[in-house]
Amino acid sequence: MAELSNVSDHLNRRTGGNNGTPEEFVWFKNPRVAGAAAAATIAGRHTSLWQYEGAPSHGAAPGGSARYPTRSTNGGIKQTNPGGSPTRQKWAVYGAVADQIGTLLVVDRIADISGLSGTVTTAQTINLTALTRYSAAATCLGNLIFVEVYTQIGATPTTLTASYVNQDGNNATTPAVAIGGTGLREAQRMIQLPLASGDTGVRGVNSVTLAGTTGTAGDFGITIVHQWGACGMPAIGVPGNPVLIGGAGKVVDCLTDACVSQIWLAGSTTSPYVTSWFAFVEA
Amino acid sequence: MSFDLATWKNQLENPKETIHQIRTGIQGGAVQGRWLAITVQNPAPFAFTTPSTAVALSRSTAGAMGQANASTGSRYVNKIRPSWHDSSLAPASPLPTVCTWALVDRLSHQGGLDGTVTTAQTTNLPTAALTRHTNGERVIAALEVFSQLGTSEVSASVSYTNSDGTSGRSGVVGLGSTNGAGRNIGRILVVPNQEGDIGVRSVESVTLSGSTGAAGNFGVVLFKPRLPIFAVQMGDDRTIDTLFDLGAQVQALEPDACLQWFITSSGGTGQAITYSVSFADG
Repeated sequence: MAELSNVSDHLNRRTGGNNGTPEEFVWFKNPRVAGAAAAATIAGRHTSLWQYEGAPSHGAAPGGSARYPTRSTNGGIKQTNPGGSPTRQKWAVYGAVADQIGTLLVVDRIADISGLSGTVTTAQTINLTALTRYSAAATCLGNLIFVEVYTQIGATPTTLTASYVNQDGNNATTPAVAIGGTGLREAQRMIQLPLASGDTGVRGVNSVTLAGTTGTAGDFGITIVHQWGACGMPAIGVPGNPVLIGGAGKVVDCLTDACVSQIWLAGSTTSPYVTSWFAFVEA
Repeated sequence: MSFDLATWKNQLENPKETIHQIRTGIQGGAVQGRWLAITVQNPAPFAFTTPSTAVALSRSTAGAMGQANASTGSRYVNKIRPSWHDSSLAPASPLPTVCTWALVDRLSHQGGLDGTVTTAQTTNLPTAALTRHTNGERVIAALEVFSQLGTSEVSASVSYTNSDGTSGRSGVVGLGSTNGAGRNIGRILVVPNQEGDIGVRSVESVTLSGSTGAAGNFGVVLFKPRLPIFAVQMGDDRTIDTLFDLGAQVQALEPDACLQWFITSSGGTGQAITYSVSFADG
């Protein structure tokens, strides 16, 4: 696997040398979903920016069948795949600013499904198990499972567990997580599912089960992501600019057909305007 | 031609060109952290004319930064020395005020839209054909306020042609507001793309869902960021190397780029900026 050897190599490729084919984007995100104000965020909780309107555009709820998003899926940044030689796209520069305090997580959205009900208390089978990226025992380490709410579910708190496929290809069950009720029911809310003791990776999710009804069916789903990095914004209007070359960050391989998207870890109760930028080179 | 570290360092010490400018009288008063374009408040000889008819812009447009084109290869921003202050703000404690800067290529703009008209507005539209980034890929549309609008927040539906050449696409953004976020001079209100789109080639009309309460004057600007965001603390005075200090935010500028700063509002009413921008060719 080719790597960026040093700052000079990175600079050379960013300025078109050595077939670097540089590519840069700015991504504006508005706190609006389907023409209306997005649901308020909750400090300390994850919010999906998948449906937030912006330029490039937002995405939609995936629907009731297992989906494996690619670079062409609406809602991703739609970066270009490598042209052949070099064969790897490197995510090499990143930064963001928002009008709220929070942390922006950059992820490859590798699998999703929606259409689950907040009132069904039997196992809801989803068979989200045919990952096309980060699917092997060695590469699935760091895959994360989230509940993602698309239409608000009910006000009655309950818990949820998921049956998933771990790094060894064996079925396992997540510890129960709280769902439903204020802060854990709103649209765009994401709830991270921890793994069973000893597990390190996720190769798919089989089903989810609510311990009790939340009171409202709503619409929620399961999203599997592979996190690339994070950008903290400790104050309004103060950008985060993690230096990936020569700094504390890490240059990440952008796999062919990656669906690059973002998750907001809120520091306030106001949904954010976010401006972020990305740069890629080939190596 | 491309750079390596040695050639980059050489041009840091010996840039091809350095531009020094001041932009004063920026009318903020908008919500802190929201984007402003410094378009109509600049002192001569750096003033943009308030946009009216649809025009494509270049480095020769009055108000543009006015850099020369590269003598060989492409031109890059390699060094910036930005500074800003706001006479209406007292230094804050413990955290001083910070604003974010972004350098954009202002590709095309128009003005003369009315904040009280609720039918489809086509005055001075469609936007002028792009002369750079001509297919519109990664080009962003925004509404810009040139004369204050009203306090009623309405939805502005913008009809545009996307980067695939498909017309009739639509994005909706809020316009007008009680707190200045959607009404004050200089506000940049980015128009979101319709699902699936990654850029705007032209804008054909704007339709308001209601009256903002004041006609004001607003328009459409098409732009592409060329040196995205970095933070500047009020009163700070430092030199920024785009390679080492901004995580290698190095992008080739198109010939004839109409460079302009977008900054985030300080929340005050007396914001002014000064800067030097140096360029390398490679």
